[in-house]
Amino acid sequence: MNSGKYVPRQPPEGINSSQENPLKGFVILLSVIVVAFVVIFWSLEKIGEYVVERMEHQTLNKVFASTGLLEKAYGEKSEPDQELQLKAQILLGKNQLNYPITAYKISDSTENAFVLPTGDVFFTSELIKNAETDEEIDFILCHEVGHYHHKHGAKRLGRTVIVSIVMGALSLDANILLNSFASLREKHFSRKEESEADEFALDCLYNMNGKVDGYSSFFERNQKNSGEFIGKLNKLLKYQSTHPLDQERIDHLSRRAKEKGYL
Amino acid sequence: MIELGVVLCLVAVGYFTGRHFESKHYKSIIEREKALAHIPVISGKWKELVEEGEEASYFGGSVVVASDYFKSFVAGLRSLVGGRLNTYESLLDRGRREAQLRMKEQAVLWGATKIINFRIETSIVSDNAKQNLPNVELFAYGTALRPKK
Repeated sequence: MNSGKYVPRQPPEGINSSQENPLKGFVILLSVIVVAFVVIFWSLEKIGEYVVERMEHQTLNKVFASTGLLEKAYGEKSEPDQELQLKAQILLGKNQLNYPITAYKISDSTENAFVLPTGDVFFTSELIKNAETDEEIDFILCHEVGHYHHKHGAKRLGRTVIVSIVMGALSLDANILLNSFASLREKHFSRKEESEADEFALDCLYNMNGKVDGYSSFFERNQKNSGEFIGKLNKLLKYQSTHPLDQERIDHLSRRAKEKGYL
Repeated sequence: MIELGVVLCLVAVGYFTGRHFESKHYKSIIEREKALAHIPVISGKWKELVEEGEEASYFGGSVVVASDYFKSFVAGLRSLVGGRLNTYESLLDRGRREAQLRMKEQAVLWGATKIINFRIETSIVSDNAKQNLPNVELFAYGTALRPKK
């Protein structure tokens, strides 16, 4: 054996592992990924919105009706509520809209109203019971028709599909980030859509009744029923909410009503 | 959003505890490596490495290392864009060196003056793909030589 003298030597550190603080790399990596998410989402959402905007309401109705998903989610529909249906007919006539709106009353202990992408509007019995004036119901009906008018349901579904597709292609860790990002973004869109529907409802109410009485009564009642604590909590969790704050909605509608000369 | 909050807490816990244990472990590794540096470790297995009047014995040292949440989270994100997986490098580096030290420590107790035919094997102990937290075993082994008594 060639017995050259062995000299003990401690190899320097940092050859097989980085000496850099991993937090620095993490922050850079996170920033790059968040920017990439924003760009990908923004582009895909714009494409989705472009397609939905150009589709006729009737085409969208057929697409949604053919899936059968809505029946699965909300069960078999009952007969339309005659009083609400009459209001819907007046609303559509006065606003010169040709939408297949059908209004239903459902038995539920919470105050709520919603519209399906097929044009079916649902009012809960509790909401109708607690409504203080007819105009309040008119405004809520107009608001739900506003969602239908702006095709919010189809746009929301498009966004959900985009999120699902992107999530399917990503790793678990990235999905946690993406999920939170998508959730915040969806809530942002939801608040924007609620404001759009409110604006539509104000014009619609004016066209329907020649005045905008009752536009704020639901929000005022909601604010009063929530109480001070819930009100403060809602303010704190503003960006987590699907709807703008009641006071913000009242202020926004008041400003718009004054600008348009409704008040 | 609650999920994100929980994840960020876990990332922070993983980062601080991981950094603490890692620096403590490296300190111990460097001290022990210095103490055992006089024993040469050679990967060759030629018979010429064995001198007249030497006897041989097999020794192995094994270590199982687990990643912390921070390391795994960063690695998960890194897989999106590619590049150097710094967080796992230090984990495997520590594992390799610790396994080698364990092997050397046993060999030194036996009276070894050098170790030949040195090898390292790596295997995944639990493929916890759902949580993305890999546990890896590193096994170092070699033939220790000492002068015959």
